[in-house]
Amino acid sequence: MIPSFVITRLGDVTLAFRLEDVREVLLDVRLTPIPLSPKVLAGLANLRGEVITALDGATLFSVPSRPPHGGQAHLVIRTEGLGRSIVLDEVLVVTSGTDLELLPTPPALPPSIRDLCQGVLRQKDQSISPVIDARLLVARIARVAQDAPPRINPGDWK
Amino acid sequence: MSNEGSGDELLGDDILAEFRAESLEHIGAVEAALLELEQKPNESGIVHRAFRSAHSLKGAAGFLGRADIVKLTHAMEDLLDLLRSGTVQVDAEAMCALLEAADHCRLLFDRSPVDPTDPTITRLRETLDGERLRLKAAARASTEAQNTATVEADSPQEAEQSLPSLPPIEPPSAPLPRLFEWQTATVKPPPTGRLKERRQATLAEIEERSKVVPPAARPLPSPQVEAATKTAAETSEPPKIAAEQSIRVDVQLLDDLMNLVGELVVARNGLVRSLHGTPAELNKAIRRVDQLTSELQSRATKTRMRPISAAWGSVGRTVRDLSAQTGKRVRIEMEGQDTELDRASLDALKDPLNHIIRNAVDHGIELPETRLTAGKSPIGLISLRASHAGGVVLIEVADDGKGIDPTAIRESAVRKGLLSEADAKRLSDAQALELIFLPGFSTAASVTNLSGRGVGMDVVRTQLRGIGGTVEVSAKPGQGTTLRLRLPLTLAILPALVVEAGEDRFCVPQDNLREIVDLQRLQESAIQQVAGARVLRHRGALLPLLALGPALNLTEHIREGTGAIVVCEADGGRVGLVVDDLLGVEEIVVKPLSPELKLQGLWAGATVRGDGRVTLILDIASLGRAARALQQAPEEPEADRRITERCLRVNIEEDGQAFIALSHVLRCEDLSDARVYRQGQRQLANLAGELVVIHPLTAAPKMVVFCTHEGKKLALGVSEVIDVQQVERAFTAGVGPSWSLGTSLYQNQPVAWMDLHAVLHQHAVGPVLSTNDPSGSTR
Repeated sequence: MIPSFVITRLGDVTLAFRLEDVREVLLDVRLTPIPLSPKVLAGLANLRGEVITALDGATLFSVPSRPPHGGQAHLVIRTEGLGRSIVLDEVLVVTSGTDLELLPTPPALPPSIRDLCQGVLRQKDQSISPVIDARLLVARIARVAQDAPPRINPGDWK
Repeated sequence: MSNEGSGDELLGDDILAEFRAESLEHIGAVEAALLELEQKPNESGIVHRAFRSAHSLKGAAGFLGRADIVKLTHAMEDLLDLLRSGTVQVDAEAMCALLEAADHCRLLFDRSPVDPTDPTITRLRETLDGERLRLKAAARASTEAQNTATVEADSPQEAEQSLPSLPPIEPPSAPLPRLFEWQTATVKPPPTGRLKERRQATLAEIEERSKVVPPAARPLPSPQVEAATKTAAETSEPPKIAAEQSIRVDVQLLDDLMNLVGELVVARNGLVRSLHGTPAELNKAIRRVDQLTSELQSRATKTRMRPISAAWGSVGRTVRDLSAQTGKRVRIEMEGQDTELDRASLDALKDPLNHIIRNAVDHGIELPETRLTAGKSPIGLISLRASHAGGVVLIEVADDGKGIDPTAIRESAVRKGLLSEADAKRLSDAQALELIFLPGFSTAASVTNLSGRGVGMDVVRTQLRGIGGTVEVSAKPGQGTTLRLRLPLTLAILPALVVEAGEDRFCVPQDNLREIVDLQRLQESAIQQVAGARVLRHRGALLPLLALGPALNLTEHIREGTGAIVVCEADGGRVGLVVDDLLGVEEIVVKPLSPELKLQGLWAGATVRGDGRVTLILDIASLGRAARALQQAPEEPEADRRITERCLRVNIEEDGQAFIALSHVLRCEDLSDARVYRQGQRQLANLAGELVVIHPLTAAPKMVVFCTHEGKKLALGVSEVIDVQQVERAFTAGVGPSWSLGTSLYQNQPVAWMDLHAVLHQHAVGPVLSTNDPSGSTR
């Protein structure tokens, strides 16, 4: 059985997420910046009392962002009991049904997306969206954080 | 689980989980009873208790369809029954067999069912075989009897006459000998020659052997544990369980409740902040919500509390097993087992505690003969003490072993390249001891040979720091080592100072907060450049400074007229955080961070404040290390170091002001609000369900200060609670009221220093108080 997917847009690329990985979509989120953190950690958000880490989709997938006027969307995913959100330009649609086809990942995809992919989704209109594996994505974030330990800045002050 | 008869498919997950939890409790109860039985082999009540627990365990296993566990517990029951009837004696072999079986039951509960004929189960059942143990004990006994009382008589009559005059063999009252002593004790061949000489020799032989207890004659040749724990389990009766007053509650439910309360606290904070200018009624209502929320918070926090005995329960077993392995004799003393702390703190405490106890037995306590040579008792002592003080739980683990040699630690650190020889020389003894917490300092063998301590101590500190705790060490070579652990009472809600740096806000946990210095009032000369970095000359010491804005690469820093230095302390190190503004102290709900943020090592967590925004909580220990590493601020000279202490300042009508060390203070209450009871001449106050004797220090006390001292709680009746001050602990001894240590001058006023020991012992009964005094304000 083909599962349901959430189709999102980031710049000129559409990305699909398995519906079971997605907890909810947030708009108009106020972020608290995280000092000295890698760029991919966009900030912290309050999700009804739970603190979730927002990941910058543009940095994560190396795709230039093209946000709409109303601001970006946060796709909240949940892995291993922890919530994180991915900042994307917009959420387009939730799709399911037999018209969908899950195909192997084509080698032509850029590595920043290919390495996080578990295949591509072909929809009825023949459009293709890479299906992002939430677990691979979280593993990449952990590596990035590990490779870039924070450096306290001696700075200067009067 | 797919085994035949397994009830898992028929039972819900909840029921399964409950049965499993119950079964593990039964195993724990069997284990505790066995350890106690080993110390008191003649108390049949303990065997009954062990039997009952084993039987309940079997019942639970049967209900779950665990034929493997049923088979094993049945064999345990059989042996316990024989011990109960006295057919088999309580000896080390029987105890080891039962404990090993209990261990295996615990393992089996975590695994899928195995066939009841599994080789391990079969082997364990064989070791539990009562008939085998009985025969073995009998064989030992007969060998002993032969060896100890063989007398070659020239004639049977002569022998008969001579034997009754032998002195009876008294079992020694001193602690039992080590296992290997009686196992390897050899018996000299019976002497030859005339009967008289032989009799003399036999007498000497018997005398000699009576010093070494034969296993059959003296039950319990257990491994070398003198686990004479001063616990509630002094009697053989099991502790009474107030079944009606306790129920099982899903931990997840408690967590959810705690989250909700946390949110309520946050909402309350927002409400309180928007109070200014509202009508009086609304103000009153909001205050009521504030009060109720605080109470709800306190109750909900209580649901997560568990006594520390839950973590100490395994100490007896660990010590027993380690003593057996190392040939040492160890006694355990426990005090304050009822001290409660958050379940999460308790879980996090188990591993570090295990490390500490292992170190104490393995490296701290010496072998009995070494101890005797050093003039100590052959039995080593490990004492565990726990108490509450000022919102934290203090745990002390002390041993009277060989201690730690600071010189050896210095040499080891230099050899490992952790610091230069010159740096090592500069370290005071106390600072040298701190080196055992450095990662990489201890690699088992070398530390064992050198200092006799250190395995995994960096792990201990790291794990405790993970829950906002600290650990300190003190030791005297030849006299022992003491580790003092400080854990937050609850991890869920804590007071924190909110500071501003640039446009961002951060929380500093109040537990780390020592002092705030107003930058505007500071003389320019107080801040100095040392080794290219800024330090504050403060209270006779040089304090490394870290400007939070620049350090965290934030946009703006230090606005005109608002800056402050927040003096913080963590892991024994201090740092001054230079911030732009102080926004006040709030109760915050600590939220966990995702692992990628924990990796940064800068944040102790995050919180959602009243305005709904997320605020990061600073990890003061990390910032302190960063500041010291950046600036390499020199350690202050030993002579400049002064001991300061946070003290509660109170007023006592007849004797003036007094300081009470805040670490001993539990709570302050208005006397009219406190629940006070009369008992003869004595007045008792109710402190969270516990009755505490009030020691009135004035004829008309208006406030009660609840304190703890030497594990005991006491209440002081005073006239007024003034404030909390960080003061230098220096006073003129012998000057002041009878309950004081001495007096010092504070703000040109004499202030006496409270001696709680004196209060406890001199003021056991005081004048009757009037409980109807309505004056004074509620704290």
